[in-house]
Amino acid sequence: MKTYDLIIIGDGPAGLSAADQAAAMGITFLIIDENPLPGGRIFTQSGLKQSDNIFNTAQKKRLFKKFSSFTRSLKSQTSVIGVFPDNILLLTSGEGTTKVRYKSLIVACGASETGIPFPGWTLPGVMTSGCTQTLLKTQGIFPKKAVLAGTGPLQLILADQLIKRGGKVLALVETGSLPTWLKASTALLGQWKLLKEMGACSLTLARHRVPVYFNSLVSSAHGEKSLQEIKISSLKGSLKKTIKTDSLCIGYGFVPSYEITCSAGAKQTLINDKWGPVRGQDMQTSVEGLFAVGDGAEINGAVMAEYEGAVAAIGTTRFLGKICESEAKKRLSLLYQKIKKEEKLRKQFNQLMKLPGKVFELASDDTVICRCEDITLRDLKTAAKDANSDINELKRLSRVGMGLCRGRTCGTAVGEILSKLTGSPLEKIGFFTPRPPFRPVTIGQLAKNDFKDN
Amino acid sequence: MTFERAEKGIERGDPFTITIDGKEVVAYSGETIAGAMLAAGKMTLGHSGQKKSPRGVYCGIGVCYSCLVTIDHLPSQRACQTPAKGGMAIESEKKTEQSHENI
Repeated sequence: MKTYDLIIIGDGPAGLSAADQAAAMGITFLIIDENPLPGGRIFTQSGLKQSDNIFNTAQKKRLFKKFSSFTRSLKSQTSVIGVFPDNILLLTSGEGTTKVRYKSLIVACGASETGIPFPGWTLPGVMTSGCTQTLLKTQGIFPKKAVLAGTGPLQLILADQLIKRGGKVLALVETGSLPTWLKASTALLGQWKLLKEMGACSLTLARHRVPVYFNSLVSSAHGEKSLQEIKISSLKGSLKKTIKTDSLCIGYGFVPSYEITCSAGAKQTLINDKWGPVRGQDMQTSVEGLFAVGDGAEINGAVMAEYEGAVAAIGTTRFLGKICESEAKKRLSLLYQKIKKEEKLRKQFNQLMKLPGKVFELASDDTVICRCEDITLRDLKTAAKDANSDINELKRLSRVGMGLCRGRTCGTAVGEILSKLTGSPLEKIGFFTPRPPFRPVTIGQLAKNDFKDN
Repeated sequence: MTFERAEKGIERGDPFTITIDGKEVVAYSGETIAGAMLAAGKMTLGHSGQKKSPRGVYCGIGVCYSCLVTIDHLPSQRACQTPAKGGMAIESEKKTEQSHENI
């Protein structure tokens, strides 16, 4: 079995930045990712040539500039399906399954969208905002007419991008209030670039007369075989508007992918109501030599992810004993200053991304909560009576979260629902314990392995 | 048609033909099966394992497994993670089929 000084999981902004910094300090490493091309979700690449470059930011260019120097260390289309004692990772790709060992590990595996169940959310035509943006970015394919609903400024940006590509936004539905938005914008004074961007997006909306509903959410979606109509309600529950549409993009923020750090033994904690690893200032988790960075640890966006990746790479070099303490401290203090500045900005962002409790009360008894196993709220209510306020007990009793997505889609909502049903805090409810394989694999992929040689 | 291919500011890859439920449609290099199916007006890609309710593309990033289709006779493949290639035969998963419920 091959042993690496460092393995980096994920090639988004956090992973690329870590790789760049590690390479600069002479550390040899392996970087792996599930996707065919590096960049992560935010800087997803494709063969599509886009003359106006609306998705090409300065940060993307910066991250890719040094990428060519370590392309040979990148193993793409490879998933981590298990973490085992003695620092062993099980990796699966189309070629089969292999075991590798690491001395230190940087987990930069990103986040996925928070699944918020409401009546009709499983209908074809209801998709996440991230889905719509990915289709638009990588393939130039987009819904002709769509309603955008959710929490936070990302909806605003997506609306702008859709309109620029020729789409029509029928309505923008936002759980936050206008005063909260204005307050956050005032706090962003000085962040001219960001304010300018948000201002430009708002102007696009105004110019195209997109109706904006504050303090509101899409409370239900209707249709027989696919989406036909949605209902917009106020947070208090009164119906505001019914709109005929075949596309609904919902964006309620993101959930860190905790399965790898958790399986490796890192202590988890609740940060802004989402589970993620406890980390020190140098991004090290409760397990020595195991670092967690970017949105896979705590939702703080791509800029913070880049800083954190660099910090973790220095932390790793220090852990491996390949840098002297004073040099590490010098490099880190520069990065800590940048992180501190970014934290102020994120505070405002996170204020706008805060989900109102109401979003977890939309489901009716017949609403499917776990999309994979078709488990309804009624099923959860029945199982909750014997689940002792423990999400894993609820899982065993009802099969919730046991499907192909491994509970990554419904996990946050199930925790919130169980908390409401039992009156227990999220800390007590806990999170779905990740079990290998973290991704569905075929017997063929497992059978084609190098275990005998190890 | 619900979804369309943007024309403004975009240069597409080479076109080729794939079949979706027996019907020939044009797709372009760089597209996923999910993209090609949506652009062809196909919203319902499959049905859920237990209740057999319709499912389509939901997360688009390979997490949710809502977009499972049969590609060249191989069932339960994620449409959003599979690049489209010329000559591929894609079948949406029907209500009656016993597909991923048995995995």
